[in-house]
Amino acid sequence: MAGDLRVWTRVYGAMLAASVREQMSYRGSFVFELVGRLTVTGLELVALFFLFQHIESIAGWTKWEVVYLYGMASICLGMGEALTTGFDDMPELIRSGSFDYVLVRPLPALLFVLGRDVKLRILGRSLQGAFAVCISVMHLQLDWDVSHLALLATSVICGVTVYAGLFVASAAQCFWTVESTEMFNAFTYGGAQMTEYPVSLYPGWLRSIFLYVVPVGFVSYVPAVALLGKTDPLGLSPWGVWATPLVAGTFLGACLFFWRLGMRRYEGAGG
Amino acid sequence: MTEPVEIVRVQGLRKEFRVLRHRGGVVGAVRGLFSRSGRTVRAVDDVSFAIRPGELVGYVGANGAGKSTTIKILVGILRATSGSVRVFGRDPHRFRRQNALRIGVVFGQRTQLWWDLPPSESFQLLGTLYRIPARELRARRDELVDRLGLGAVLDVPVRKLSLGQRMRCELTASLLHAPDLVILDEPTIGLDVVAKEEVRTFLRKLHADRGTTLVLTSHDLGDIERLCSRVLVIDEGRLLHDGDVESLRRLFGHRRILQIDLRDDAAQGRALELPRGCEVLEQSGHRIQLEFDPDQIPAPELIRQVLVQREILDLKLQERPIEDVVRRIYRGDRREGD
Repeated sequence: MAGDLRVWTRVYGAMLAASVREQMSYRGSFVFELVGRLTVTGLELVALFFLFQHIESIAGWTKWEVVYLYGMASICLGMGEALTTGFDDMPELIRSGSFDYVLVRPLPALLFVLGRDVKLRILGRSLQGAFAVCISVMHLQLDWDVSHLALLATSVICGVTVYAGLFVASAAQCFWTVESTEMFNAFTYGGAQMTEYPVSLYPGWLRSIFLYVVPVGFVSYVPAVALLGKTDPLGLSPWGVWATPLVAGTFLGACLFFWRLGMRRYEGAGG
Repeated sequence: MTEPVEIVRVQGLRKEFRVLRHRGGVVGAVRGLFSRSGRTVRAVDDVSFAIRPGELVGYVGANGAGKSTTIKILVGILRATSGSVRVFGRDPHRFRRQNALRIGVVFGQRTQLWWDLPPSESFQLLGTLYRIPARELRARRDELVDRLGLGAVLDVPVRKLSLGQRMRCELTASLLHAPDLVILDEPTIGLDVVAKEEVRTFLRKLHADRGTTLVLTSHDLGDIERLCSRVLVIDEGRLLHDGDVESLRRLFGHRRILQIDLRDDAAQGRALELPRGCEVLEQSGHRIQLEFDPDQIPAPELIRQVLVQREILDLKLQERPIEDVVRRIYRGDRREGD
């Protein structure tokens, strides 16, 4: 397994380099796509600012606090998306039978698919999210210390983990239905949109889904409450911070298990 | 671990799939959700064979006969339903990744190359994947590129290559790690005559020079006849024939078919005078199909003789279709045409 990871890291690095080279040869389209993504996601931020011209706060969260949440959602979704671009064409891989080529490689299928395609231009969303987090943090004037940094890092890592897991699960669904369905988009893109606002805003059943079933809400809300020093009406805060990595890890585990189930099905039926 | 004498040993192999029955109407659709009823299809049924190092084996059958299923089991993609399968002495499904280092696979009509990258970069990535030392990779790549005449396309993105060029790149990609066993699933499918011949020549040379064990599926008898020393014929999941190419040739006589479109109705006028070793297979309207033995009458000579007698609009030279061979095996024809 250690040997596999070393090989995989080298393949991943090589794919990353190839991706950079490819994008350098189409510099124009790379810039356009990056700018395009920045604009589209940037408009969401502009809409948020206009919203706050009419209201003071949402569920007790001020403008810059919501901008922080929004930025974190964008960073995590964007990086989760960028990490898993190899899974984008799973329906096509399975339909054309090219997935068989994945299975004759001396690497676990998941690692090979993860590393076989890396697209940097997807990162536009994260860049814009990082921008939002930076300006919000500047306006909020927090007293930064190591614990804040640790919280921020934990929040990003856990958020990326949950979104990446969702994208893997979404790809694994192709083992059963070759048509790509929109079901998982409700949790990825939909989830990111939901968590742009504090989850305490939503009715109990909806909140529970995004806190405990698909925990995109948990990993964004709980660390944010601690980082921004908010009072938490849901009472998740003190213990929840420590539970965050556990929640993200468990969810990733469930997604990987779903992928394994799909693989078993494929090995039995041959697609 | 001592290497077993056989590279592949298959005993009583069986593979079943469940095919869900589709019912019509809303009621049927709803019932389909709850019932697990379906038909069990036996794709491979009690197949046994062994392959020794250095053999060049053709695996023949019509579409859906069970060829690809067997291949997928040999490389570990699919689990066998029952029976025992050993490749390099190991269960190929459990040891899929370990075996992968020693097996090279080509699936016709699919690609293992990175679509937007030039082949040279795909080769580099595969080199990393198979842990091939840099110098070894370069030497092997250069040799294959030279043999397959790929120098000019090495830096062209794969999506811009012709099917023939791409297939030669696929072969290179599958051979970079110097596999002991090479499995080719329909490697000539969709290729034109010239490209087909290039692939065949290359494979023949690969086998002669390196003694690589090759297993090749095809529904093109030309591939099998020109390449393989041994042939397995499979139909409806059952192994019908296992023997040398000569024994199969006795079954289908390695006759070929010439289809001619005449300007006039074939039945009109004087009957066509045909040389020895040639007979009319079918005749309707302007079209006539001749079956001939190329050893007795070479194709160009036959065409010349027909041209002297009739005016020809079009010609087509065909191999005997594989279904024909299978039919003959069923009928138990041991010799034909005499």
